[in-house]
Amino acid sequence: MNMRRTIAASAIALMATQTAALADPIKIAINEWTGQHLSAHIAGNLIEKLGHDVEYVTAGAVPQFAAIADGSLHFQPEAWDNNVGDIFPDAVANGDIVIVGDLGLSPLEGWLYPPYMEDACPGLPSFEALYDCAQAFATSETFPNGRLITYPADWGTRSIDVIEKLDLPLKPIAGGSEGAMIAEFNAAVAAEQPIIMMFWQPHWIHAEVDANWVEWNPSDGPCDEANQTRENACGFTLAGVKKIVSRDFGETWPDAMKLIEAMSIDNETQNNLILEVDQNGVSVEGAAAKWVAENEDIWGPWVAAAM
Amino acid sequence: MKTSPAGDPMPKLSCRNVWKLYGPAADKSLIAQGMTPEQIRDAGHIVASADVSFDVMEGEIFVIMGLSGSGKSTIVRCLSRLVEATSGEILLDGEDLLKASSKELIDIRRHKMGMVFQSFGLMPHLNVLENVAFPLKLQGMGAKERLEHAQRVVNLVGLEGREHSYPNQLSGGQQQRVGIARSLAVEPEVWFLDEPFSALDPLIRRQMQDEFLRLQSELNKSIVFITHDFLEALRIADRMAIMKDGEVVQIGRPVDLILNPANDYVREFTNDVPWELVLTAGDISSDRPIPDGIKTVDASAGVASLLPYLAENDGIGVENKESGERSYLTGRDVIAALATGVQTSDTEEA
Amino acid sequence: MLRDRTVFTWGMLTLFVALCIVFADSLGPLAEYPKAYFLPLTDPMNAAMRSFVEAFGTIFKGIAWLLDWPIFVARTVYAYLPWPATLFIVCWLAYLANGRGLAIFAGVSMCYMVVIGYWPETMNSFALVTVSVPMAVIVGFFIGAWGFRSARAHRVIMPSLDLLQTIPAFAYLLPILLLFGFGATVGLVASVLFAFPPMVRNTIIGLRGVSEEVIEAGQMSGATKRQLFWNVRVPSARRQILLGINQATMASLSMVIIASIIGGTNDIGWEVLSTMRKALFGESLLAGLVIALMAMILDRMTWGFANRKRELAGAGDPNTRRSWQIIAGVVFGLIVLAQFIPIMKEWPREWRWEPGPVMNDALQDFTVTYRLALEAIKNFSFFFVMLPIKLGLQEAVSPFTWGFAMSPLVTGLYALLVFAICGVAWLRDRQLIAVVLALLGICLYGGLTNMPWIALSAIFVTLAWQVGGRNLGLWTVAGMLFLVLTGIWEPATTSIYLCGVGVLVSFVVGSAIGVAASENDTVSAIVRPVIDTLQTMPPFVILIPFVMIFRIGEFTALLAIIAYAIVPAIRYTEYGLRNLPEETIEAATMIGSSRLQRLWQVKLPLAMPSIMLGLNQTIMFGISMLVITALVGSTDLGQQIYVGLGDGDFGVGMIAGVGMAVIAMIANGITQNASKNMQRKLGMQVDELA
Repeated sequence: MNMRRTIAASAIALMATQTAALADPIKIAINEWTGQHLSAHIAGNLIEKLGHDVEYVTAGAVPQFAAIADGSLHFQPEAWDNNVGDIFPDAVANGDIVIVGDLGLSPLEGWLYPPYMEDACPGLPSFEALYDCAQAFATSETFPNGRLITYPADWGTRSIDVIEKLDLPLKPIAGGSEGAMIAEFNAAVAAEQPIIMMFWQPHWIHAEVDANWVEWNPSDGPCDEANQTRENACGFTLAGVKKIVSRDFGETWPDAMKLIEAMSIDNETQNNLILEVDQNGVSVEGAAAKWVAENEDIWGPWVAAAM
Repeated sequence: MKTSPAGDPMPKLSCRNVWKLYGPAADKSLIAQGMTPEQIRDAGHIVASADVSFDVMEGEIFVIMGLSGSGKSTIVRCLSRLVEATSGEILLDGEDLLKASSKELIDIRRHKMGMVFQSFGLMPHLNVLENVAFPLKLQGMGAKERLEHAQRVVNLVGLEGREHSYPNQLSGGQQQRVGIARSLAVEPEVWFLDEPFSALDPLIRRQMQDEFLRLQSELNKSIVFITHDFLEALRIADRMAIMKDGEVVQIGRPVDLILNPANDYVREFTNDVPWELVLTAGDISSDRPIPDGIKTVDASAGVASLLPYLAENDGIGVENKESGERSYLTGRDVIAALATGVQTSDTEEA
Repeated sequence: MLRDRTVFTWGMLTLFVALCIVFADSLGPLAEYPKAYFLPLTDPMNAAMRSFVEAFGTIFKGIAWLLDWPIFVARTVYAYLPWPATLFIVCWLAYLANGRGLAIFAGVSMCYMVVIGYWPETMNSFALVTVSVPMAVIVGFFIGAWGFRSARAHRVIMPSLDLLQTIPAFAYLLPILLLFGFGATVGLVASVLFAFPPMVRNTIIGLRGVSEEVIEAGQMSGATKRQLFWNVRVPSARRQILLGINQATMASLSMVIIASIIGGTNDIGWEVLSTMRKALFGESLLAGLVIALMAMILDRMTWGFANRKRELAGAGDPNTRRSWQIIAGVVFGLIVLAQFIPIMKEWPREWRWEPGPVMNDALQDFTVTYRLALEAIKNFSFFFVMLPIKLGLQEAVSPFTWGFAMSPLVTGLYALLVFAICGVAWLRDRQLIAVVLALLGICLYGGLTNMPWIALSAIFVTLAWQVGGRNLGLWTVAGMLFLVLTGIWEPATTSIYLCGVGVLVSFVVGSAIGVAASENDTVSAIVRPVIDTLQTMPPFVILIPFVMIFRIGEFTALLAIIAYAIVPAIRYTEYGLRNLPEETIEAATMIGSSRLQRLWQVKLPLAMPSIMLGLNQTIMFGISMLVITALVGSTDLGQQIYVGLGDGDFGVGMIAGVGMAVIAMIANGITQNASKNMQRKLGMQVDELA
């Protein structure tokens, strides 16, 4: 009787998890940037130590949410929760995507400029300097205002709003895409031309190019992006970087779930690894494996938590 | 030879009062009302063939001659039912073809009819042998048997050695030989040729005509041959029909048409005819006694062949072998006959 | 008489547009349609999509599950075959299709793919293509056969094909993602949807093109209806159908690349996209080259099979059977060998050839060295071409740009100049040209994006009506209303402006190159491989160098459009000029024309229908590139499509996509009809180039 109930229960569980038989690999999302590749491979490397198969699946930053929500993908260690449209919050709200916690990266978003601009605009890095020497950033298209590259239009209008709120003499120009923004920044730096651009960190570009952030007035607590003035300008609200899994992940792989709960990666670790990969030509797999081999003291407790 | 109840030889193929109309409301009722082609045209319809009737005897080459737009292609397509006649009867061995069901029709085409097309209509994806065997394949004949059969027909038309060529690798004359072979592959009783040599060079055309006559002397099919070339018609026809605007203008032996054209339209064609080649001694000799010491020829001798003799003598005797009639032909007779042709064209110019 | 009426129509239009621009401020909703009256379509569309997915989602997921299998099989097979074996098979097929040249080309190209380290990704893309092409071909063939059989079906099929081919692919990726779920299936479905229309078109053309006599010959051979279709009509249309397969293959490949934006396939398109996102110009170009090479091989191969001389075929030939045995033997041998030689299984990472960084540095050096010159080029085109067309002289002319202000005096001088030019044209008895010049002068003053919508719409509707008759005119009215009512007029005019300038430049420069190529074989030999590469290269790849050189902005977008849209302008011009009736040219020569006279007075007028078709294709290419240019910051409909894709907002993306299709179809209708009118006038027929 008891036996039968167990079988029935597990059968139902099996049906509920649909495809999640034990033999199934855990599918980890691979996005378009190196930092995420490293987080994914470190996580995957450790999950394999628990005896699970892991498969890395390339997925666009937006489509991945649809994939995790319907169970085609299982785990994304580094999901940025800004600029994600409706799919992600909807899926979290109805439980199709489970947020496990913060990865440990402390992201930063703001306006980035190369150090030589401090000669042309001496008051930097304070944002106050932009009121006086915005023209140092001007081009023929924007004169007399300074030219500020913003996020692509489909990532929202935050820089535009901040310029309006603070009444800065800058003209926002949409960046189009990440690649275009990086190309723009690199080209400007190479020719020592003026540039200021909305950007974020961690990002591999910081490992390659010297760049400074515009600094805002200190604020108590989180920045209230929408209600700032010149007096209490605080720039941008910080985004969160979350570890997310599919709905049934915890039931199907409880040990892996515990590992994911415990794991965390900080900016310094990731920036160093990014440098290895993007500058020194090490493969992502190789860099992740090397880190795992050398840092058992860090990840040991995570795996122990899962055991 | 089959005969009709009356005892006359029964035609292999008869075309009786066949009409073909195109147009928005072109149907039988117009014809049943007894409208003339002109009236029907005035009503906004197109009359492709109007009240066409003729018979084709077994083993006969019947040529339909007409200029483009005269309805000759339409009528041959009505005979083969590639085009459905609006009204009339088409009797094949006395059975009305227009009443055949589509299944019966397919069967008739598979066994009794063959057709040759102006632009050959070869299957571009099949080689010579496969093209010739194609009708047999459709009947479901086995591969080996049909290829053997096709090979025989290919040999018949003189294409040995080109069996594995594709149509685009052949000259026009060779392609039409393939077309002929294909149409003969099913050993048809009735053979339609729709301007088969019109797309060919004059020299090749001449050769193909000879070839065609040779084949017919071996095969003895009942033939409907379409052409726009009056001379071609004269060369090969046993009997011929001239069509204009969908109507038959005149039917008869070539020589009848030349000597007794039904109207000016027919006469115009005869202008270009080298009369000395068409006329025979019997056609123009007069019933006079033959003087002594004069050579006698057969009535079927071509006038052209007599010219050297007539140049040196006053006249020549003519003897009809079948009837035994004898007559006399003078140089003046010949000149008079040829002058008729010149006269007509002069009149026209004036 | 007809001419007078045309002049009158255009004259009235010019007057109307002028009045609209002068009184723009008092036109109210006719100048700028108020936001409050936008049709609220996006929310209902999203709701409909959501309930549709809820209702039928399982069915589509089931289909997706089924479709996954062939992809899985193909990927497994390609992953299992060691690269030398695949290389050998492809080279052999290339040899069969097109002889030794193509075989060598394929061999070298595939070695490149191996050495550059993109072999597995290439094979994954190829797996998708090998699954999607047969599906597209089968679907396309049967729809084509249906459209051939039934005139009613034909009437429905043709516009649907137009819509499928003109809605930018990005716009329908999202609905496919929502329906079929994440995975390779999205790419597969998108690629089938995109690839089957050319198959349908070619099937219909092919089946219709079978000569009547061949059909009659089939009938007289006693074929039943079924035999007539399958044994006579279809095989006779074989060449055209194979051309359809060729086009379907190319379309499928390009779509597989675009669809990789979704991910899930680990294919070469993903490599291009992610290297592009990292702004690695060299690497993205190298990966893009893999796609271009793959496209060229597939193109030449399918083309070769379509045009192959038949004697090479003959399956029953004992020689070929033996060579097949040899092939199988070699492949088997290579597979066995690969078990012992690891290089044959996987090319070692250390042995990869990696010229990417060098290329990046070179590009960077270039931009630094020539910065001033580049800047000057950019500013010049910006101030004197782009801004005037976009905003009109009234706004573009300022002391900062032109060195003087658009004072009443300058405005008056401009008006005088336009008037003088028109007057000269009028006096020379070119009334129509005079009126059109006046219209252009007024438009240039007002600016494309600043014009009241009613004025711009009037211009398009008049043009469409004049060229394509009442039907096209009414369609244009409907299309313009769609753009206005759904609230996408503003980005739409930006699209029209960007694409318009791009097309103008492409057409002028491209035709000039085409003329040069038609007159000079050396030029032609140089131009051809360049345009082949431009056409097969994934359009993303073109963007990065332009961004590096000219920075983010409309100028870069414009250059990218030109780089892509110039290809058909060159091709059609050269084709048109090289395929004129020999006798006419000979006649012109015998009359004693000089080479230039011959070109201007004989060849170009005769080649006009073909050149017009080139313009048509230039516009189509330009519009399809618009979506891509949104990646470098143009603010047009293309961006709306990204916003839709990025936010998972089906309605926004779809409306922008349909808006783009509307513009494309109107432009298509006008130019196609213009070409047809010219063909009719000249009594000749021009085929569309594959």
